[in-house]
Amino acid sequence: MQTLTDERFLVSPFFVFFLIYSNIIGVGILSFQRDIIKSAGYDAWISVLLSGISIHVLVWMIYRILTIANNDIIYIHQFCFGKWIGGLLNVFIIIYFFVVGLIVFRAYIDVVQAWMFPLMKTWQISVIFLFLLYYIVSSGFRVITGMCFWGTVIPFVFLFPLLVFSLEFAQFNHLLPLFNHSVNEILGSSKKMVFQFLGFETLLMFYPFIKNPEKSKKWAHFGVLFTIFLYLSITIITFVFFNEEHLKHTIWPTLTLLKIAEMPFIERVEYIVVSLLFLVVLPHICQHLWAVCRGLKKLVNIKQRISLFICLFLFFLFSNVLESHKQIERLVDLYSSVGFYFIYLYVPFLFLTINIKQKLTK
Amino acid sequence: MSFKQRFFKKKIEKQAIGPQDINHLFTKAKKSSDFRQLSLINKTGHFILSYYNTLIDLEQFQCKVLYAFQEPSFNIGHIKNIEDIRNTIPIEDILITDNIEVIESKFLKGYAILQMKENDYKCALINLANDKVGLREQNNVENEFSVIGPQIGFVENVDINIHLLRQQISTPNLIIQDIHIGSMSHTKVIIAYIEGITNEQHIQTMTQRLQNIDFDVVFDSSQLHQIITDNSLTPFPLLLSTERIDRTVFALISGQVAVFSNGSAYAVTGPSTLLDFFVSPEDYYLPWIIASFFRLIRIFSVFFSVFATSIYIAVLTYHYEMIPRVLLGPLIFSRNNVPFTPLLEVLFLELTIELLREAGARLPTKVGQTLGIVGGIVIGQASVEAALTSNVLLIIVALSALASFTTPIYKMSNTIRFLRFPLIILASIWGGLGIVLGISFLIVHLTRLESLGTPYTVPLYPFRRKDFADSIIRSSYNATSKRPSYLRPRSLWRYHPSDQIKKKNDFDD
Repeated sequence: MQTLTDERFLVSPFFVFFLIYSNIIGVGILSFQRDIIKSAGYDAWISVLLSGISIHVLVWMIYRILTIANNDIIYIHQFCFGKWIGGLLNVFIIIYFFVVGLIVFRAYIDVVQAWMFPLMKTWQISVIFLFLLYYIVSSGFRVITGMCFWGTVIPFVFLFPLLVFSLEFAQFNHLLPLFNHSVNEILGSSKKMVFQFLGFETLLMFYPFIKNPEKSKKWAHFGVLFTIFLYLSITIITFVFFNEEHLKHTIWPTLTLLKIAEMPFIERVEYIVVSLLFLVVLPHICQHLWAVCRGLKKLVNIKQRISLFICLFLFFLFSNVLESHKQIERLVDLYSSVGFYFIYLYVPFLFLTINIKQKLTK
Repeated sequence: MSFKQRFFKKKIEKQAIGPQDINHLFTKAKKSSDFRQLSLINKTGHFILSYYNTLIDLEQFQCKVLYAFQEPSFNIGHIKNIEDIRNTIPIEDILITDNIEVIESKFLKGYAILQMKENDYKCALINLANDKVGLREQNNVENEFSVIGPQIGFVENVDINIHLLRQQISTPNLIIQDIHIGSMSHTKVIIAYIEGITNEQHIQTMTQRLQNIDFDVVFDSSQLHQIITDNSLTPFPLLLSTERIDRTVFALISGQVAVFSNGSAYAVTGPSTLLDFFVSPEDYYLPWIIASFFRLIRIFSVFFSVFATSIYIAVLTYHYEMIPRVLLGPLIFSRNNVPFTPLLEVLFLELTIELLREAGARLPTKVGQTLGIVGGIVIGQASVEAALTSNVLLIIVALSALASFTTPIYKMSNTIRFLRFPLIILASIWGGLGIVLGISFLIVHLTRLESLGTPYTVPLYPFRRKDFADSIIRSSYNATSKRPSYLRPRSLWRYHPSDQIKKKNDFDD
């Protein structure tokens, strides 16, 4: 199969695992338990499984779309809907990626302000972050993939073992009785949970950068599977630790949970967690920024360095406008509903369109 | 890269300086008192020999050149042509040429010029060079010491170095290519590689970069290293320089290229990866379990050395909640009288240690040792008693300095000690977040780096599972029979481990 990108910039299919994984895991991992418990109570872990399975189907669909076109979404839109409508859709998708990047960026700063430096102004911390973002994104896709790799490995070694500490206070009977909630309630939680899986859509952009993309399918599914496993285990650990009412009123349950961990030479590990979470969030933001710049380059042929600079400037402006936690939450709600319809309505629609289009051209 | 471009520009101006013809060369040479010119047969204007008597081996000159012309059976009639010199003088390296550039460079390297007649442009260059004079005799390893294993290292003479190399790799596939670098020094620089193993691309990149160098005097191979490096905006050494023979041989058989420069006891090998710098040759002489353990300790000590003091600052300045109650008592007791912020305290001690190290490196060995002990103990103890620093910090700083010296390559241990300072600053501004910011910058930087076009952090990223056998741990020789794949060697197998696979038998069976 012929690839459109220079061999030097490609990454091997194995890394799709890390790309998918680090795009799904974001700041949401600190707080998602609270959203999903509202509807399905302690049965919400079933919702995690359900929405995870639906993501597998979607990843399969996206791969079908991409294999037919063998190019990224920008090209697919113009191929399917012509220059103008396709162009309009491309503008929407670029804005979508931009907003996702912005939300994750601002949400992380929010966590830092809440847990580490309450008096720190947003612009102060954002400036240095933006420098780092420029340095990473301007180094190209291979370096971003490298960040995804390290952003997966390092937190995995240091952060997730800490969850085990809270098992000391586990009440496993919280989970019983099973299936205590109606199907509707469980589906309601699933809908909330889908938001946590958003982010894998960047696959639509970076597909041409994978060496032997056929082989990467397996790794993409492994990536999704692994995130399901991670979300599921965190959900269960949280549920056996927290009382249902308590959980509903905790903004960042994962961090509260980790406060329990205590070692002979260190206490209050949540400071480490919040700091190291930066490594989890960073690849997520970088991917989306990169997707925006790449999309703009293909759409209006603007130099990526310039568009990156503009994006970062807008990041700086918007993140300072969004001052309060409430505003951020409202934006997140908007994003979660847009993202929901994007993946459950638009992706299948695109899937059908491209299949029909392909049949017609034949 | 911009470095090189600047040199390119100068190259154009340089061309005009060279001598026009041989007489012009002699006129310039005659100004020096060590220049000699004489006629071999006591007949002015015939068989003129010119040389620098400080460059040639006088004994060889007398025995082989003068004697050949003055022995009774010698008949001047035999030499009709300059080519006949070869039959008269029993020296194998005689070059006959009229190219003035060759004449000049050979003449300055200890060749004597023989002309049939005065003003002859075509002349014979006789090798009387005496390049062993003035060089040290002993070649013990001095800076990359190991307890087990050979203790011989390279010396400042490149021919001896190649001799040492050929002793270990006796195959005609070991190819030695030389080029001359330096507009003043015309230093002989040698590129060594093993044909059929090393990827041609590495050889080509290395040769190309060396040929593009324009420099005046090459003092040491580490200068070449700096000029040919892929990225000069980095504290990390992108090529490995070593004085150990076993290390160089190991690099060559793994498929790397080695560069030697005359006058330097260090060979530069590449492409190298980050982990190569934490490998000691001793790892291969110890049993693999022990070796792996010590290699892990070495890698741990790198992390400790880089992060220990910045974590101290972050915790004491911003995240004091993290200190457990049992540890809080001793810390308060130790910091009770210290009037400074943790940042100043750390900077004070870190700079003291750097001073001690720098002074120790500059002073003669015997004084240096004394100074190390006196400085370390006296200054450390006194600064604690004067309440300038806390005891706990003194321990941390001393340990992290110690840890940085476990890195076998000196250049890398300098890098590690350098990396502490930006992290200290970041930790003092943003605490734990600052450290993670620093780590992120570091990771991005490392991921961007390349050594001769090969990623620097391989086999970690890009992840190569098969090359892990000899990276963070040193597996047994059965598992390390293949060359690292990231070097893209022409043949993958180093050796074939014994075919008899030991089956685990039932006991007593």
